[in-house]
Amino acid sequence: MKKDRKVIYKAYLDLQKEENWINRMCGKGWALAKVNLLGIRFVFEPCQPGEYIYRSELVSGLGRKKRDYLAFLEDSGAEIIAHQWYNLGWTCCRKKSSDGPFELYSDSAGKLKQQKKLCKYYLFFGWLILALQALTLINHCLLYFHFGLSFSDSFIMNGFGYVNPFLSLLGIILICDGYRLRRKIRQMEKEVRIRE
Amino acid sequence: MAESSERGALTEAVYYILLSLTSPLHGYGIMQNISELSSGRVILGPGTLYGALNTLMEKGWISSLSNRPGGKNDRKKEYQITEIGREVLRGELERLRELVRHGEETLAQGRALG
Repeated sequence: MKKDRKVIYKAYLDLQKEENWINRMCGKGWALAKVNLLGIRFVFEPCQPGEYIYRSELVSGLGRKKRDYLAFLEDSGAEIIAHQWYNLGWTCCRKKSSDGPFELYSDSAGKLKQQKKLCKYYLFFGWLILALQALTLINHCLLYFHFGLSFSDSFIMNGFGYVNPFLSLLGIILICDGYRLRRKIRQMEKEVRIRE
Repeated sequence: MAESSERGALTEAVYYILLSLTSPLHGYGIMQNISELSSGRVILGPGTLYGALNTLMEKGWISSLSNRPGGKNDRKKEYQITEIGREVLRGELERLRELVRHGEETLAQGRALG
């Protein structure tokens, strides 16, 4: 019974790579139907290979303005598969490929704005994680060396905070991605000066 | 300041949106109309169109029509060009004519010489 569904757990930092993957899946006959759990659980249903074109973007903002935009998307013939306000406003929609080419932003300025938004998030969260990790580390050292607390006591005094290597690594990856994206944005900005 | 920036070239998207709105249309209608006008060369993304419509509304180049009586669907907004918008469009057409004229003249000369 459950054979006509495919569930894949996958986490992407790069929105473009994620979108490409979703489209490749569709090319293989699996259409993304639902995304949940903070955007890492993807549910696919069978479809004609390449039946849809998927596009994703971050739709931030609250209330009326955002609802207006999502409604506009639907009116334009796109089907919204997921909108996760708790996940930076990650929104995924699709259109039948028989309706012709489908892009959310057809102008370079719009594409640039999307990339800038993503870059901002990467750098913000990357530095935030690293800063918190550094604070925790300093706190530990203070409690341990200066106040002479035992290691386990310093752990408790620190509100059970500890330096998590995986979290630190995530911070570093986010920052690297952020600066990589920033270089790409600079390149795109040069291009925009020549061609719309 | 505002005046000088309004003298610059319009983007292709804005130019075609203004042309389409010489008769009232809603978002999807604009996209279809532009695609037909340009024989499928210009396909406007909904994100681009939405941003452009809002900016044009703020500038007063287009206005949204009050919803049709009886229409319960209040999000299918229709838009229409304003007098200011028409003025901008005329100015742009003049600019485009100049571009084409210069291009043709220069290239024609080149052909005669070469």
